[in-house]
Amino acid sequence: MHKYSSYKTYTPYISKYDPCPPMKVKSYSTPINLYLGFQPMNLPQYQAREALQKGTLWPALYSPYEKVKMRKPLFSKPQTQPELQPEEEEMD
Amino acid sequence: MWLYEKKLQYPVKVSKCDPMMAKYLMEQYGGADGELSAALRYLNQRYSIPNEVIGLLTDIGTEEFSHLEMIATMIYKLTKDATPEQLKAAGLGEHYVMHDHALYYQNSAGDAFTATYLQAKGDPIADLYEDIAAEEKARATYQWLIDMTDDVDLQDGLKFLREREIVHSQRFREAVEILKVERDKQKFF
Ligand SMILES: [Fe+2]
Repeated sequence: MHKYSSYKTYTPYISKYDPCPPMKVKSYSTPINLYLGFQPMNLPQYQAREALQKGTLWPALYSPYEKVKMRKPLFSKPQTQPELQPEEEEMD
Repeated sequence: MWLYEKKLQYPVKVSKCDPMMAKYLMEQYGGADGELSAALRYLNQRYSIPNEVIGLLTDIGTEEFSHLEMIATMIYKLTKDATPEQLKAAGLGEHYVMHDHALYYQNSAGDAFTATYLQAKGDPIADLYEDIAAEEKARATYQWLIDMTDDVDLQDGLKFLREREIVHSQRFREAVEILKVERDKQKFF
């Protein structure tokens, strides 16, 4: 059992000569398939309806995406506007 | 042989009149990392892959066709009632001239589908690694498509498709695990 975050962030170099307002934090997805290895037997399952809605039968394989602008930097100070909590998901 | 069920794998609902989104969605219809590309790639590679993995390629290749059908439904809904003027404003003027309101296998930039989008190297590891990369690229494309629309119903369908790419990648990674074990060694229990 370990925790993983479904995306990672980094801070690119910002020049004072850049023509546009800088994007201070960049992010990229790190879906569950990077961590799971061979799927263990007998993992808990969603009920059928929820499984269809989620796109997978197993909570352990659910690795959702939110729009970039809603993402919060994982390793820097909280920003002024309210944003989503970083996703920390439990994995069996 | 295939059996056809006359329904979509996941319900498609489009709530915003946005023909330009149809143009973007064509990336997943006839684009390099799109659903047609995926279906043809897997269903073709399965002839020259070790037995344990053939069924997986058949299953996923088949599912990709059901995704293609969902994307087609989205594109159709977004364009069927658009006037030539609206299509022109959405960057689909050339598409209208060539195809009227018909769908066509091309990417978001209007380039026609080509078999060079997929490979079959005959080497199982090379092919499965290509398949994993294809799934990750399709997943990323769905992310950028989700970024391009604020229609939550369309996003819902795209989020379903993105999650399926994650599961497919997981299965291809497991297929590599199956093939890399010392299969010729005698097993002792
Ligand atoms: Fe896929």
